[in-house]
Amino acid sequence: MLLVRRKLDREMDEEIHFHIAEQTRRYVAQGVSPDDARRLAMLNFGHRESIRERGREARGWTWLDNLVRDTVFAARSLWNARGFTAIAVVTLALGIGMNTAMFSLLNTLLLRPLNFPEAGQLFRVYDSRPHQTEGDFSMGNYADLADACTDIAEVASFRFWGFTVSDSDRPADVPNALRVSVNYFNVIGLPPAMGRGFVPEDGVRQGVQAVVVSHRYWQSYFTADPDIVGRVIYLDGEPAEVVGVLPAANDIERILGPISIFCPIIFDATSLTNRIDPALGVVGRYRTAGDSSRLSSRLEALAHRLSTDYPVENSDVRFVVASLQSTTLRGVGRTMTLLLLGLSFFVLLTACANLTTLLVARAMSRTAELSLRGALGASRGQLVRPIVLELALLAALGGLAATLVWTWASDWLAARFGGANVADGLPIDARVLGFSIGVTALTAFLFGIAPTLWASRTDPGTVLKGSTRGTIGGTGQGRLRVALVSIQCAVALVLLSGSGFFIQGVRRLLTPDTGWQPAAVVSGVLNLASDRYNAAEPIIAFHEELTQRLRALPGVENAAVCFEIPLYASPARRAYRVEGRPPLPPGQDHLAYTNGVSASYFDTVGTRLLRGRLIDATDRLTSRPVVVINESMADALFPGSDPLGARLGLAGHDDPHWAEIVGVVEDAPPQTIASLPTTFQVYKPFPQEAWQYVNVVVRASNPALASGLPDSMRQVVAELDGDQPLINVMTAPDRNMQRTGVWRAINQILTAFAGLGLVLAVLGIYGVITRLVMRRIGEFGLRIALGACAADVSRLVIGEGLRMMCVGAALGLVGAVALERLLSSSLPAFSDGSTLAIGGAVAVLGLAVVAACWLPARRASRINPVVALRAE
Amino acid sequence: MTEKSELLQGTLDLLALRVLSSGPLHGFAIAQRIHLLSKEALSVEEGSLYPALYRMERKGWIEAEWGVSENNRRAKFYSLTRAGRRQLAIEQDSWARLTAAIGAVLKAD
Repeated sequence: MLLVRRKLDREMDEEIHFHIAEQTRRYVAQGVSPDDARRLAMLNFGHRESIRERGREARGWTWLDNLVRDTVFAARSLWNARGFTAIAVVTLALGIGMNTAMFSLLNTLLLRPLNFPEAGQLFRVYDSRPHQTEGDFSMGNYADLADACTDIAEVASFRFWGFTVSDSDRPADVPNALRVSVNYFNVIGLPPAMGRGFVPEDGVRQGVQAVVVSHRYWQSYFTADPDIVGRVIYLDGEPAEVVGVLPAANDIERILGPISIFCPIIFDATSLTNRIDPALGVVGRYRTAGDSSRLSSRLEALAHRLSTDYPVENSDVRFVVASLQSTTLRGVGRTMTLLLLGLSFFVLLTACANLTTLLVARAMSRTAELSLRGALGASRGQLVRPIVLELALLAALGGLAATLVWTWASDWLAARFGGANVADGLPIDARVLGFSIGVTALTAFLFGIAPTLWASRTDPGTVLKGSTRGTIGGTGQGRLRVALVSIQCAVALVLLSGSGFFIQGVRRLLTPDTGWQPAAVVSGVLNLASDRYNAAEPIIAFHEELTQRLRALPGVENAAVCFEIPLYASPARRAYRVEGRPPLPPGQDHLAYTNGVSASYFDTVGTRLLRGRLIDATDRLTSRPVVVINESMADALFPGSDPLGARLGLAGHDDPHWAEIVGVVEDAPPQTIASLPTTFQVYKPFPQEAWQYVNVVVRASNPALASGLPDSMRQVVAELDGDQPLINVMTAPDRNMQRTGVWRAINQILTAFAGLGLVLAVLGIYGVITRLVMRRIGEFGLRIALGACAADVSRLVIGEGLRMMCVGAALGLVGAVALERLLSSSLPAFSDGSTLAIGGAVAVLGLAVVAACWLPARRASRINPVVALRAE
Repeated sequence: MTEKSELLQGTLDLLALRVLSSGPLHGFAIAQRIHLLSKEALSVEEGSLYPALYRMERKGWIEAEWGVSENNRRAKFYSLTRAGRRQLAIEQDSWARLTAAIGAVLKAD
């Protein structure tokens, strides 16, 4: 378009030139001399430039001209202030980019509606007891539930399981598995992509089990075998046929975690009489929309009936319905969601605050320029337009940079936090993007234009007199600037404190050395397939042989098997009562984490004995039932008396299986960031409840040797039985690293932002103090002339800086304390040591402020009094 | 030099269109023709002429083309479009009504 315009200009010039030439020739023809003729012609024509202007105007290109000219001007002024532009662009990029990426992740993982058809019709039902509000159903209860609600909704059930999967030419594997009722896929609305789902015949025990695999498992374990449907594999040694493969993008992972393989639940007559063991999670779909009230009343009636029919097992049963969508946010998921949401909001806030200070500072520095232009006759609009364009350019650059940031950030976040669903990168949430852009744009324009207009109101006379002791940064503007710097200090302080909390809390997570010695521990998971190990004796025999062979390995000090190692990934919780005491009201039973451990477990893991004895080799399958409890449980249940000799039994069961307490060990609580429902722990001898699915634990004689053990451990197991793989073998410190990866990542992000906030605060203070020093050059010169030494002047300047910080710090402290309250209510791990974190934050901020003031202070102290006093 | 009378705003458009109705002319020639046809009573101010021509070109009443003048120099020739002819008729009409109205007022006692 500019080229066209230039061409038209040239044509216009040519026309004018021609016209004047013709007129000249006429005059010459009339007898005027050529020079006079030309002069006359030009006079006659009029002022060429203004005619050109009017000509251009008539063409209608003027607005474009002005726009182009102003934009170029804006670009040039941005380039001249490179520092400001760079920081502003970075702030925008990080604020918008990170925010959008983080929110997109949250949305994809947690907030997005489930992608099952009509997902709003799906719900979960929980068997709610006083001590376990979201419990699973016993099989008998489930059957009754399905019958009772059959006209309102169709229900399906599921149960987590573990199989050893083996195939002719592949190594054995123990994937995450789910047993489901045969109508499960129909209820949630997920037809398989290949093959078929389950049919009612699959739910009857017969020869070959039917099995459905997930898309990812098909790709990884079965290497995308095209003949997967119909293939016969072995589950725990029994033949099973793969009948279907699920589609790739489905939300089962969001509600149940990554499941690789699905098999049907077999409901037979005996299992249906079981009303004690909570086994099944229940999910359902309403047949017609909006039937939740009908369902609730039906469930109430059912609960009442069950508690009268089966008073022992179902005395306090209640059924709770929740929409399936809401379950994606339960538990730690919700805490993390809120945390990440809060973090992204805070990031945005910081970005806006920093942007504001930058823009206002810049506006202030242009007061002189704007006053001059105003004095020369520029209207408000003309003054503001270049500013607006500048901001638009800045926004464009910032937006571009933000695109880069969020592309990189969402890849990184998806890799760290996301599961299968986000393997191909996060979709950008347009709403969040719009919101972030909107907020930052609003901030930019508000705080870019408002101060400009206000600054342009300054009386040009005083400004143009140019005295540095004058009103540049006069009281009003100065106070505003100080206020802004205070805000920045406050924000920096809150961010620093938050970072401090996290570092503290996460550090405790990362070094779980309370109650055991993880440094030299290596553990793995072993699942003994059912056909050869379907009774206690073979399992016990296998593990005895295994631990013996493991102990014989070079570098191994001790070995044991147990349900769980002290990192407690999925602890079993049971309710207990003490013999001889009256039964407690429902819901008051003592909940305890229950661990079945072999002899030498405590030595292997490193948990100390406090009283009595540990579980040892004398505790066999047929010997007297015994338990060992932890210190907290002993103190709580037997205050002041000796727990040894008392007997513990399972609450709520006909046969409590009384066991004598023979020992008390120190506490080795699960290391989680969420709050714990109980701190009690009960250990029982593994032979008395031999699970097929165990953790195998080994202690290396030296932590340095621990990393070399996994392979030898796997080999030992393979020698014992080639079909039983030892999987997920890693050292305890590594395992802990893996578990806490998410938190450490959050920590890193938070620290980075705290750092950014701090840097910006420092820059802000530096700018203000520098101007302050410049303003008071005369005063400083006078002081020096009157005998003040360099140190005194420096102290004065630094004092100013610290004073500014104090206001901000006070505000920031309020914010920091509020943040600490919020965090500790949901994550108690963060509450200790918070004073240390806040104190540390204040100290860091103070140091930063001093650093910011150092250079101006030095300059102030070096003022030559003569020069300063003369330069008025 | 004859006096330049003030031209009512918009009449320059009318005169130029009229002059162009007999054939394409370049800008200088348009000014000359108006000057001649008015028996030298009207002198077009060049400062107004070209902007007016550009404006009329933008409105689509005239179109321009580069050509060669009488003395073999490059010049831009303007000619009436069909829309321009229609506009000319409209403007002539309203001019006639205007002069009639003014005349009626002046003749009245």
